[in-house]
Amino acid sequence: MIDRLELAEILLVEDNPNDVELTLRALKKNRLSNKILVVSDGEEALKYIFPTYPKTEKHPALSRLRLILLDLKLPKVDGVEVLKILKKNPLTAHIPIVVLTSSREDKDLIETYRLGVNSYITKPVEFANFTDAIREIGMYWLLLNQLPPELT
Amino acid sequence: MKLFVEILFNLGTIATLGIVSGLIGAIRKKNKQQDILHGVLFGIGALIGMLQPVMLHAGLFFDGRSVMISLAALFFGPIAGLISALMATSLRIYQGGMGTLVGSLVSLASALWGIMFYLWNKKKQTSPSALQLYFFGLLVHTTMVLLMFTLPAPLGWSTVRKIAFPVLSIYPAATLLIGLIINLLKSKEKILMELNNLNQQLESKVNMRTRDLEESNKALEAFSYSVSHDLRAPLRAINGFSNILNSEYAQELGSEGQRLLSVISNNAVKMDELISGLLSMAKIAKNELKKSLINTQMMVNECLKDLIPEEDQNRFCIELEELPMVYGDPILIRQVWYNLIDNALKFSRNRKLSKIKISGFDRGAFIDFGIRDNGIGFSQEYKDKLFKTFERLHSPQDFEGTGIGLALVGRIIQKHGGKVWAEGEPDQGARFFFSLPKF
Repeated sequence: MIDRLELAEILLVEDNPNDVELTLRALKKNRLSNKILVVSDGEEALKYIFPTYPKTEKHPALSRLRLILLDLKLPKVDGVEVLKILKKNPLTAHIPIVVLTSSREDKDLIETYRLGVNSYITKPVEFANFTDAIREIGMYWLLLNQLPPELT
Repeated sequence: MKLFVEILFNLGTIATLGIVSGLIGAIRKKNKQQDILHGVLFGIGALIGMLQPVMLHAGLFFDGRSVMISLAALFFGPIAGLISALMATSLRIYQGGMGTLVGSLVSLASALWGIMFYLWNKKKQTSPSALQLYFFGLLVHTTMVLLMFTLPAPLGWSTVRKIAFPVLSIYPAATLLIGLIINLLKSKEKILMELNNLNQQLESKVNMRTRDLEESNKALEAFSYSVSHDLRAPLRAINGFSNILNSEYAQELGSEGQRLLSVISNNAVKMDELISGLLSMAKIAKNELKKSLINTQMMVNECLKDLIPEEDQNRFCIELEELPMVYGDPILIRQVWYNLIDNALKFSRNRKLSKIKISGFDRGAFIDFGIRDNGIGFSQEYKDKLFKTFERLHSPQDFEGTGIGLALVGRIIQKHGGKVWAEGEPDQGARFFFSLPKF
């Protein structure tokens, strides 16, 4: 985990501390945990990306962010709302957002894809599968996937 | 005699008009504007009747306006009665002649009698009976005949002598006839209105029920949403942290400690499967079927391919008959086949060679499918337990499973309006059947 003053590459938006710990362990195991920031609700996530939220101004955090792992059921501002705001805003629309949630609900799948989510993953209950899933997500989005050059 | 015929002819016109105006009036609901409309309609009836009167003398003639006016008042109240009387009187005054006064008086008297009877009926909340109608006609027209004495002396008496008999024999009968027809129309209107009311009540009840249902549906949906989200997180934690404990503190735990921990973590996974099963049960109940024509043969072959690993092919002997196409929800029916084939494979895997036979028969309105295996079978006394949620006939050590597979099969087939049943004997294999309606 990193200090707030540094800029993160991965933003994990997750309110369940156990899930946070499991996710961080899985990332660490695969040496992907160096630049990750954890926030525990949607509002906090938006405030990290746009420090003057609800105003949405360009902020250095934006240029470093390579992946957002987003839970759907979140306190205050829920995941779908965060997704909607980020995908609608031209400053943030390009940031890959992977929904990481407990269940496969048709309603959520339809809604998040409609809003432009990049990927939808259900967190497996079995730890081995969970670790595999997190590793593959990290590998794919941070190593394999290419992002557009910094938007000015 | 000529007078008789003329009066009858005149009444014929009036009766027709009366029926028409009654018909138009009866269709509408009762309020003040309708009263005025009725008055005007009956007034027009009276006017048209007055255009072809029975002439007795110049300026003294008879027509059926008394019938129209009295009925307008009797059936539709003071406003209707007075309006029609006013219309008839205006024309009568315009026509002029020595009968002007008596003619106007007759119109007014007819309206007054009608209003009195109307109020009487309203108080008693009845509609005029046939007897009342006839008596009413007689009263109105006796008044009419008596009013003839307002004519100059010799003319009054002679007029009464001439018209009393035809008027009193025809007009009350005409009143009765037209009155009965209006009665009929009004009762029909009343029935229609009641029907309408009942329909509206029914509709509002249906709407209420629908709202209730929608609400409870929403509540259920919120419930299953929360189940699938909130119940899984703790399971993930239980499984995850016992796994971490097992791998990072293996030394300290020792082999028994490790075994106990894996019991914990396995149960978390099991619980997750149960939740998934329950959620899919709920989903089947909730969602509507999306039916289409299913190529059963292809579907079964796909399931077999999914369930039997390439390297195990020679451990199974699958006999596949020609299977009829069937109409149903492809995703759900595939689940049925998948679960049934999975079951057959599972419970026959201890045999040297698993024998499975899948067949289908067209039975007209229904299509039956059967799948039999040479597995461990079951005792016939448990056949009712097979399709119940979480019921299992075997211990988890022998055969894994959550007890939800066959329950899902049962639920899906039931939702399709079909039937599912099973036969078997211990150690003699099992036969599962389901039948689906053709359409």
